[in-house]
Amino acid sequence: MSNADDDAREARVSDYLEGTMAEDERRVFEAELAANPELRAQLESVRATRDALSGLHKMSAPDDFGRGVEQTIQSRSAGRFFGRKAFGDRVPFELVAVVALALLTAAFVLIRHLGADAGAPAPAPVTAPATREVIPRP
Amino acid sequence: MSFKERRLIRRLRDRDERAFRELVAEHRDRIYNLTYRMMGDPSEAEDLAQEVFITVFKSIDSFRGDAKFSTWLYRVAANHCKNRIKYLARRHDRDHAEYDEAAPRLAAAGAVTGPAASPRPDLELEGVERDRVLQAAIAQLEDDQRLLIVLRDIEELSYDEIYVITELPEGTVKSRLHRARLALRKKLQHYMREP
Repeated sequence: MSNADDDAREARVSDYLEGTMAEDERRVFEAELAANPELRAQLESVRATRDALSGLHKMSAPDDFGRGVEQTIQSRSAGRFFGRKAFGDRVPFELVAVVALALLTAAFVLIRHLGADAGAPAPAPVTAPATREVIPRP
Repeated sequence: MSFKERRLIRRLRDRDERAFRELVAEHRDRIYNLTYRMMGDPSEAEDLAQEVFITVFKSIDSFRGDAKFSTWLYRVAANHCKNRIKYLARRHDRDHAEYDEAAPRLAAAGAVTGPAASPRPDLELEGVERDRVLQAAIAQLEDDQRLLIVLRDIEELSYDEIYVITELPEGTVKSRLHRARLALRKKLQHYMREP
């Protein structure tokens, strides 16, 4: 039996064990199991191992873990790692582009509006107050 | 990737300290559990888990978003563990070479003791004792096998996540996992009741 055959057979055991095998494939595999005590023993063996592992206690990180990470970062970067970046780095380009476009549109509309106002008939001229005649001194 | 995850990544790229705290708070236990099960030593596991978060924070710009962020995090952790195991193995070999040279002198001085007596084969394992025995057996596996056991049977990740983390094809992951379980079973057979 080649390595590829071995791999495929072993992968099938994993699939069967974890219930990820297709129905027709599962029936074929169960027929093999019934006829092959060695395969059956192997399946039971890996099943027992997996069951034992599933009951393993989940470990939790120590309480001060987060602080420890931050302190390490701070000390390695001499306090320069966290911090404010330049405006262009902090604000996404897309947002800057949208705001700029909105401002340009508003300016365009405003100019058009003012231009339309300039084309309207001019109001009656305001009469300038009479100016005092300046008589040159002799 | 969810909107929340994308937002967190953007804030991490901006080196937002609060985003970093959120990231650590959300993933610290799972990453620590992985490093602990891979290394088998609490102090080593803590150091390594810290390095994982530091690496993630430093290289967040290289995260392309092809996979889930947590999967990428696991991948960084797995690589750190493998590198550390290799480093410790090299150091162990070097130390053993020194030990082999010193052994005759130590034996003559009565300082060398034999291995601890094996527990009874029919011992039913429970609680802390079972954890200890399982952990000792996991630590004896090759690092590739150990990683698959930890990812699948302890962390209970999906196969799709494991393919991304290990960069191995589906069939290889499943067949290696099968062999890893058999190898672990062999190491545990003195402690477990036969089915």
